[in-house]
Amino acid sequence: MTATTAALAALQPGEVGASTLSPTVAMRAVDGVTGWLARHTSRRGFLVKAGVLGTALAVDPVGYVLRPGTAYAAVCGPGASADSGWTVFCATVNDGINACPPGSIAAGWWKADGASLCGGRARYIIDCNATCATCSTPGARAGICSSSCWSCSCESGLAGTCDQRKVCCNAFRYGQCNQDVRQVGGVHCRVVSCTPPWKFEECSTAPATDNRTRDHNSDRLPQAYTATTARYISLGELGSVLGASIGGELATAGGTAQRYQGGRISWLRATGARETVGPVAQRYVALGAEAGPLGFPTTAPIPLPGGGSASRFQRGRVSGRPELGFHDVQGPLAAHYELLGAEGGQLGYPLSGQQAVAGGSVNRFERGRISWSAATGAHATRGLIATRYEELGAEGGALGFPVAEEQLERNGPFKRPGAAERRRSDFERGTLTYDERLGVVVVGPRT
Amino acid sequence: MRLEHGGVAVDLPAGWEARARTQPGGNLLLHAATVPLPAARGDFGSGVVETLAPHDVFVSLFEYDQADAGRALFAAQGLPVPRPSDFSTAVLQRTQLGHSGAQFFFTTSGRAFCLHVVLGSHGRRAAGATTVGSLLSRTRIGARP
Repeated sequence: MTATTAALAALQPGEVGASTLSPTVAMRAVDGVTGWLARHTSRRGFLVKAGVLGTALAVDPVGYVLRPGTAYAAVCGPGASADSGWTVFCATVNDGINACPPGSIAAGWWKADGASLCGGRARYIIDCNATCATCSTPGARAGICSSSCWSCSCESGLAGTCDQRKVCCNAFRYGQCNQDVRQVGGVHCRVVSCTPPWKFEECSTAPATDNRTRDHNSDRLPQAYTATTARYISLGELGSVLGASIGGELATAGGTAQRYQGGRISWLRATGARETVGPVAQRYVALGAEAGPLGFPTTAPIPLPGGGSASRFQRGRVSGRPELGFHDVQGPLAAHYELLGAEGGQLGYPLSGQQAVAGGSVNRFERGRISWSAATGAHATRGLIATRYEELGAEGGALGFPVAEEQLERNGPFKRPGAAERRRSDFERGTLTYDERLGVVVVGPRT
Repeated sequence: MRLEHGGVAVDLPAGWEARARTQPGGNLLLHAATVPLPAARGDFGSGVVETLAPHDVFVSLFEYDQADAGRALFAAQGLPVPRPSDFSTAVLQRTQLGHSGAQFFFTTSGRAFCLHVVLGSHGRRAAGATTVGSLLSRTRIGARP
């Protein structure tokens, strides 16, 4: 076989090639790789590893053979040591956040095809390069300023993580992102995504590929493609309201939770993967999230008129508007609130989270309240009746808990057009009646 | 021996191997090295650079989208010829002990490119630059076909 035909035999589809290598040189790589492996492994071991651990061999053959058994065991994937020469993941050095740290910008990207971490699709790796914070390099032809200008400095080996790759050492630029920035610094760290970077960053679509980085990972990134990953991808990942992931997926309350800058995705077999976002998520987390009284979310975020939003959970609801705050309504109170039309009903938005009172619990709303006790169930009081009820001490006062929904009283079976109304709420130890004609609320005995 | 593809022509000097293909979007990717190019390799040389001996050289000519040609990053005009002083042990996608790299962004014939060169030895960068120059002086970049 001549050198030229040896080269042509290995061409990729759509590729053209030519070679003026001498036959000796042309055969060097094949002999070098297979010969080296054969000398350092048994024949059977070589075949088994070649079949089962093909990825490990493709990505880091020398590293794998020197440390057999570590390729799959290592959470951080192959090439995770400082001397491998690769750059660290941003999640490792940015408090678990899979985003460019302050002082760095996306400067380019590549993809690794067929990545299991992206459900078999391409996995995109975005380089976050330092900025030329203190100076630029006049006339530099490389698109990289002198290392003395960088906003970070070269280091590696952060304690407490298996991602020991280099931080801010490699002066390389992939070049598809922020092309209007003439010079950047070295590669601070790498962001990962299953969504193409031009969908959420200032990047062009020119594809670069390096499949050897397919399984690179950090112990502060998600470790597998799960229903949560799929949901995150469907929402747009880093370009979504959720933003960047923070850390990996956590086991909790029989399911899992994944934190993001803008919210959370919770997964339970019975409810699927559901996101909570923004202030609703903040309230949910403050209540203990999945392990708290609300349980797992059962809907996607529900947009409401006037800038409001809500999420439903297994055992309640969180909703609000920015000017009112975001509050929880739980258990039977939530069921009753939804029966009355929730935020769009007569009560409006909640003004408080659920509060325990002697013998039960209560939520206050824009136009009333819902009170619950085991003996009376959940009932609403509204408008001026609710105001008077609160003046009288509400559930802890003389009247006790409401025992029924508000009733409309009429003089006779049919209300005459234009006639005044009377509305009445019954409580454990009395009634409150609002007379529209008189404009007053009257306290009466329980009838 | 001549390789032509995607508007680029290279008259290979003795002791080189080159491959070229058109990427999705119509962008050219050309690899050339003084070692055999394995079928599986990264666009900026992973899988190849690990095989470089001290006297060896790898070259990647990577084209960007047509719309990228007017951007500031590609302000330099014409295919550069690397000088020994352009090389650094840090200018590598993946730093490797002893290796040296250089990277240039430029526009020519209305096309935006990155030229990335990896030498097997930083200590031999003067000779490496000469070797690269022998290839680039025989490389012509025309308009997109």
